[in-house]
Amino acid sequence: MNFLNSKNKVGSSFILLFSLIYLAAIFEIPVNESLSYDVVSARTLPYCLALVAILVCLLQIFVSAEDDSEESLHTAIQGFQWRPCLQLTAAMFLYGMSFEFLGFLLATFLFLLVGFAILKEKRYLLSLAVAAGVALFMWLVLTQLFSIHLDSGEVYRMFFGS
Amino acid sequence: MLDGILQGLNTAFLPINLLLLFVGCFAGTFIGMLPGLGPVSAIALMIPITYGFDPSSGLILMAGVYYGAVFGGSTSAILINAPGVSGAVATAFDGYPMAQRGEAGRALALAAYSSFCGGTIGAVFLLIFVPFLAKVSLSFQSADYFALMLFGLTAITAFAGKGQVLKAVLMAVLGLMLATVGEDPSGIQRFTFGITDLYDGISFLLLSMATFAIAEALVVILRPAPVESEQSSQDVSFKALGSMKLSKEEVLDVAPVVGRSSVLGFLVGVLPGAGATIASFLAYGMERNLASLKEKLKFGKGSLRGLAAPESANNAASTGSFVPLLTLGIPGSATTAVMLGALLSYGVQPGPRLYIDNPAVFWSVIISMYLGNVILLVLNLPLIPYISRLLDIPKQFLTPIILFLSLIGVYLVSFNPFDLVMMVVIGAIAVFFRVLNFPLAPMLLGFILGGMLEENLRRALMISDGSLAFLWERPITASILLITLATVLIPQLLSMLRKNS
Repeated sequence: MNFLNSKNKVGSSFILLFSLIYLAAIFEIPVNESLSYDVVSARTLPYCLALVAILVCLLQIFVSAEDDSEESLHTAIQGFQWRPCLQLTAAMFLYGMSFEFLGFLLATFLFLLVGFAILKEKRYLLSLAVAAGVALFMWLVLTQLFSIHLDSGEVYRMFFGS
Repeated sequence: MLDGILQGLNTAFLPINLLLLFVGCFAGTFIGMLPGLGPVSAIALMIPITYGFDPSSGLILMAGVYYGAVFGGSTSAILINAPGVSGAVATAFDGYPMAQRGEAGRALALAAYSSFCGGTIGAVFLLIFVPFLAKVSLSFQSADYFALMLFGLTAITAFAGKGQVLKAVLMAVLGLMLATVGEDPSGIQRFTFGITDLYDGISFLLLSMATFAIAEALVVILRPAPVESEQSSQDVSFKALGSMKLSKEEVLDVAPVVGRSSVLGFLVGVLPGAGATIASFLAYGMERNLASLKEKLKFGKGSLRGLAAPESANNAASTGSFVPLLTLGIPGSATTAVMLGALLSYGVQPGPRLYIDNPAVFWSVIISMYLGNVILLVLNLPLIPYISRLLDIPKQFLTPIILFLSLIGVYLVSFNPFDLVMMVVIGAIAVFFRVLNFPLAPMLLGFILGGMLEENLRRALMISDGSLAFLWERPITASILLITLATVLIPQLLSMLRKNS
């Protein structure tokens, strides 16, 4: 099977790359001089883990027997709906990035509204009502019932002060 | 022990805890019914809510959610042939054909009764095994614990599916690597790259929510649902469920099946890494082999025995998986791994000392697990026709709400928006691994055991002055390591022998 078409090999290569970066980063770990007599340092376990990971990755990539029954990557991802998945991931990312600026209520309302739209919900009024309802309900439960402080956001402070 | 049981009973029967158990069972049933979301996601979603609770109440809620989710998974398996959890796959073999025949009510009732019996037998066994094992494990030292952690990690990989062993090992090591991010036991920063948000390491909750709740919700979007299952969902949930009554003959017929499967399920559940899925398939296979030729032909076409066996086994296995957690502090499954994380976040260290230091927590968890079964039977079963209507909430509303609840759950613990961004990145990587069929449970297990593994390794090496002799000096350590080696090597050798023959 083509290397890039094998799920096992692609996955193992990814972990191999991660392990090599991890191994390189081990040398950045400071060694505490006052504890230099210790038989174990902050680097001991990471070294062992990096070596085991690299060894197992290489085993998986080069040595493990080719399994003909394994579904190819191409077949596995056939029919996948990448677009809504990526859009939702981006929406979550933006939700996290804009949380402090927009505040809990506005960021949550917008995230839910965008999420419903990404999943092709055409009943816009219902979407608006559900997004506003969920955001408001959660805000009320968290702030009024559990007395949790939620950031009102920069936008709120710009218009209404602190 | 009697004092402890009484303390546990007092705690479990507090009105607030009974209410939490009921809420947990209800919420768990609903979450478990949603295809793609299982007990792990359900429990992970509950962790942030329970942070303010005392440990007993938090664990009681989670025990309710756990059983509710297992029951909910069976419900969706029977009603729409979409098992919410992998442990309910075998339930669908005979449960769904029964539903198609218009006997959904009877199938659900039988599933609930079998689960109840499996849970009851499991709870009795738990009551006997746990104190005994807890006493034995009190004599364990650092070296033994290190060996036990290795055993816990290798067991989950050994029970991985065909061709999955190396992948499971890799994922467990990846989890261990992620656990080294942040401050090490001597106070040195590792892999933080100057990012202050990483100084405390990656939060367990963040990792579990990202890898299970977020990744599973995204995978549901990624993989288009088969048209047939969507249609059948509409068909069955709107149709009358039919009678929920079983005749006396039918009960007598399935009683031995339930007994056998529960014992088998519990024993399989105790093995770290085996869990409810393997138990349910083993019980199903065992009953089919034991059945007469006439009965055997009914399997897969709506056999009562075929439904009762996996249902009682998976519930007994769920109970059994608490044995290694409560006695040794080693999670036997992804679900108990999440619960271990929750316990640690409450400041409760599971293991043999839990039985002595926190008898109220220890016993209230065991008792509430049993109460969860009772609540499921008494309250959830009559509510099933109504709960099943929740399956009709459109996916386009449900998925963004689940994603929001997962994100906000993590934010409410740290109040740090950086965690939200990190969670999305880890969630995206988890989807990548899911697509490539790399198991995520070993990663979570590795992450949780990482800290304890390093601490015990460090202590054992210091005691032995840097020598590796601690691995074979004590008979307990050597025995555990031998069992670990056997667990890893025997399945490989058997598979090689089978190939050669």
